[in-house]
Amino acid sequence: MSHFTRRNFLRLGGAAAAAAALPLSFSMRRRAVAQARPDQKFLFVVTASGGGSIIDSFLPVAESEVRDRDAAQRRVVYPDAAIVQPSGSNLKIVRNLASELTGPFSSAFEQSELLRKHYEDMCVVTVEGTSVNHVIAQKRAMNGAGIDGGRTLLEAMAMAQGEDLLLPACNMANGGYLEPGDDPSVPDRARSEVISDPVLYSIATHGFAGLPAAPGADAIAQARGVRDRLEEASPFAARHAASPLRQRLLGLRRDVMPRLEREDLIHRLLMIRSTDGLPLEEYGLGLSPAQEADLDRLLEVFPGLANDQLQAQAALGFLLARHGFSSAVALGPGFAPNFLPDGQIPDTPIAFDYSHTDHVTAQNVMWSRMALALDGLVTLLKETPHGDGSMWDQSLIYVATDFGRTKERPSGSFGFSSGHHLNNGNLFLSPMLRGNRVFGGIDPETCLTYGFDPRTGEPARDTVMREGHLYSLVCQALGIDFDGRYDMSGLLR
Amino acid sequence: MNRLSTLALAALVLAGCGEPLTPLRPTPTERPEFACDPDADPPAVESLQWKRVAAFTADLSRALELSDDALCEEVDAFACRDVHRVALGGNDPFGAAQYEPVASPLVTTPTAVDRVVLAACENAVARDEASAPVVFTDLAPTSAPADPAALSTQAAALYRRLLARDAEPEELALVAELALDPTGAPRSAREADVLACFAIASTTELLLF
Repeated sequence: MSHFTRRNFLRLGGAAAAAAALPLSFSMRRRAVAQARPDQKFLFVVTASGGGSIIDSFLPVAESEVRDRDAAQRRVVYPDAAIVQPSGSNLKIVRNLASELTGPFSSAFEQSELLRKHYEDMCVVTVEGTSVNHVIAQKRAMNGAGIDGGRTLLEAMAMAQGEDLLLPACNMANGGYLEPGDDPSVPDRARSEVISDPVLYSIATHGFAGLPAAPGADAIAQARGVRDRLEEASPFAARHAASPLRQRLLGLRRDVMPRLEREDLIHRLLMIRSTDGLPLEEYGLGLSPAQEADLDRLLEVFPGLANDQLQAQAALGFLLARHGFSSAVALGPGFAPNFLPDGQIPDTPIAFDYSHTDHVTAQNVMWSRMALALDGLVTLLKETPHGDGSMWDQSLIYVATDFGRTKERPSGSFGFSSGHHLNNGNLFLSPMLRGNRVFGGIDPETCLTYGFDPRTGEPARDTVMREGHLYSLVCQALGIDFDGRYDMSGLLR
Repeated sequence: MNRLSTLALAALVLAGCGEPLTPLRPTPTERPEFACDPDADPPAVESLQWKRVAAFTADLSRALELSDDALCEEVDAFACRDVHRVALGGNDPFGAAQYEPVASPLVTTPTAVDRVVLAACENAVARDEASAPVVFTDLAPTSAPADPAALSTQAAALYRRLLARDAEPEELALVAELALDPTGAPRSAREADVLACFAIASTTELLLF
């Protein structure tokens, strides 16, 4: 058994990568050229797992906004000094409160930076979901509570935009966000490729590269040819000729595996550098100068990607889209702790659901984490040429979440527990949407959000929106039609 | 209830039904895509099941007499069973809250299978090369040219170990082709053993049951 554990492997890789990653000036930076189709659109679903509350992030209520000051002490509202509204932005955000919060969990990324840099392409869409069960709510966030026959957004996007892509939809999320849709008409090719380890995923994309002492490529090709003929000659094949499962495997082997290997995903998606402790060149996994330069840039944006699962997911999600392999990617923190080499965890335990123990800390830390991933992803998409513009021009990021949190707290307390609540809102980032605004609104007296007219975008106090509206919005923005889609024109640019 | 009350109640109900209720979601107006055409062929009956990661790697280990640890490692560091767990049909309940495995093979399932099988075959051959052979007894893994007849005998033994059956003559003849490389030159017995093991063990017959 090798002396390596995954932790020290990644620490070695990360340390070497960090040492080697010199910051590049803008003039020196080699801009990666996207290899996706010029008309390709991209969907990223970033999951705020556990219940990311919009009133603790992008739709906060300030104490000064509440008429009844006594009641304000019992609602989840924030001191005015805790809320930031960048110049030019109509949106506000609860800033990073790490300096004020006590306890072992913190995140250094200032979430207001996300708003300051990208507010023009950001909007909040209010919603009231239909389940306070994590798994069910997560799944409904992905399939619009069944509005499209049970298809998930990733599946719908894969069917609409991923026809000739190697990995039309990739899912690195967890729980209900990871579950397949319930529409039996979705073909296998549109079902999501589940990726549990973004750092090591590239290794799975080649049948033999990187294996020590493997025979040469010609020898393996010959053996594969013999295998193909064995498949035809065997009594097993004759007996099970009609098996859809067997046909699926053979089809993948015949039609997709050669493309995976020919496109060299194993190197193009590799996010680890060679080190003395792990000489990847000896395994044939060394990177070309161009790939090294790309990795340099990734590490500038996501310096912790070797150990930080969320950063690694975001980096891999970008690579999958950038190289034209995928049109839809889901990613997000999970409930399992992501241990860093020093034993700390970058998230709160059970992500946003740690709000059950310490609401403000959980929400603030996790929104900082989400903002870090979102900012990095948007930054990379904006700087990557695509068609006549950039990848960002054709991208939409939907920050999905399970549900909101309860709106009450013990009077004057900032160390309290919260439960699940249907009423909430979601963050969207895309130049395809009307940005820098809130669709719907919030009642500062109750901290409950209300809806809007989807055809105009104007607030409508006596309505609430549902998961189906969010699903419809994503589909309409990306040009995906389906029977029963709500008209969300009021939110589109 | 007397007739007058019934009529009054009906009138109230009807009055309440005068305004159509706004549905929570729009009512589909077209036939769902997945509705079956009455004239269409019925779907094929599935006669096989996917032998998922635990059973697949266990069968491979048993057949090649390799311990779990010695079966396959990526970059000599990570057990293949863990790296390729999802692609090989397993699930990740702790890391990803994935409580059910994927229903159908993923895009990376064939590549993961090839990697695991190739590594396992290589490890078994290396073991037999370094000490008294336990699996590759009919064609000892040496640098000497592979004898096609011996390779055929070895293939027969591999069929029994891996697929629990006797090979058909045609199958043995196909595997014996691996005694020569693509240029027609004799290949080493060692390499022939690896390739024969790989060709047989990576067929769908070991992956499905």
